[in-house]
Amino acid sequence: MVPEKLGMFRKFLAKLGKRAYWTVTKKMNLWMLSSMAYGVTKKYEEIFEGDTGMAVDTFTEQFVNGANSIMYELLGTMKIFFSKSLEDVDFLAETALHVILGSKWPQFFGKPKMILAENTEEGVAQLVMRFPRCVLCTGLRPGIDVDHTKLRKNSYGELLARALVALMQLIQDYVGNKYKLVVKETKCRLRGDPYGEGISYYYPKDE
Amino acid sequence: MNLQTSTRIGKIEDLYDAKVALFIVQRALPEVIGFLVNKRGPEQAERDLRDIGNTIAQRILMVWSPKTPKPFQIVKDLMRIFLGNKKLKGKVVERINGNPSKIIIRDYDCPLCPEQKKEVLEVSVIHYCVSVSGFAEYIFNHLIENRVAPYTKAKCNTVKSVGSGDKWCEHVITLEYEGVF
Repeated sequence: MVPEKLGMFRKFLAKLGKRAYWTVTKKMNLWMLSSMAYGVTKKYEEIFEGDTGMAVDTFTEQFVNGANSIMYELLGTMKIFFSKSLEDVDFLAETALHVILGSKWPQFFGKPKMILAENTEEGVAQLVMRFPRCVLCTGLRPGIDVDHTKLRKNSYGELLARALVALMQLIQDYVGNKYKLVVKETKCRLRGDPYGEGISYYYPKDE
Repeated sequence: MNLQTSTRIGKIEDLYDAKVALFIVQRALPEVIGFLVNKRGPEQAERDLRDIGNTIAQRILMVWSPKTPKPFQIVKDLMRIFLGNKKLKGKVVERINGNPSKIIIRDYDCPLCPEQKKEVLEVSVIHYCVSVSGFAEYIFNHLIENRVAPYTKAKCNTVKSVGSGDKWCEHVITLEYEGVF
């Protein structure tokens, strides 16, 4: 039975659980992850004859597919922390970020902020996430290492936001809410913005 | 220690000092390898994975330098610092004039390969974690170019891989001294 809203006890359990998970899980260096993503992107760029947009889009899809398989695995243990309320979404996003990046996650992601539909101009609920330090763009020389003007559907750093949104979509589907999530990167360090920002829109699904 | 320039975004050290759950890579890698094998064929896919390893090594050298030119120690340090792997065993199997010319490294806990206990598709047509070889070989060559290694030529090949159905991963390093194997 999925609760309407997370209570204090479940939130407390989630806080303990994320710390325990991070303690026991195998970890790797974050610069290594960033370098792997860059290495794959450059190889795909070569395969697609200089088409950076195609390279980034292809890798983003593959990364999200891989992330989805993790989500299904984690679903079993994490489902006791799910609720139907969108007011719990930012708490769940924080928990997921802790599971992935440990206690240092606030260095890379700002506190996720859920804005309910009634408080937005568009009438669509939104999860706003800022990236003061982008895990993927850090260390890049704009226009030299990755030319953002050649990008198509996805921006270079969008794959992490898309993976997180895939998790959020899975949660919404699991709890029986009828939302289709769409993420848009609104700010990007590679394009010269002072920070990265991704907004996930919770569009009501048509019946 | 670092080659930070004002044109680069952010500080690389921020990422170097942080960690991320390994499962992120372990789940994305099968997608990448599957794509390369299908698109390029197994032989070219192996070369591509080695190239990716080279690119990674270039970026690793921006924040990290080997403390020693000893190849096994370099691989051990690389795997421990960057991939959290502490279960590497190395053995010198051939020497020339007392210098190691062939080293076998066995990895019983490869962070790139899928865990054996889990049901995953084995990629038997290529050596799954071959990018480790490309990665290590680039570092050895960097030391040779900078004249801090006693050897003058270094090669690294992955000959066994858990992700390809082997019981452990194995990398073979061959070293040349002044043109003599």
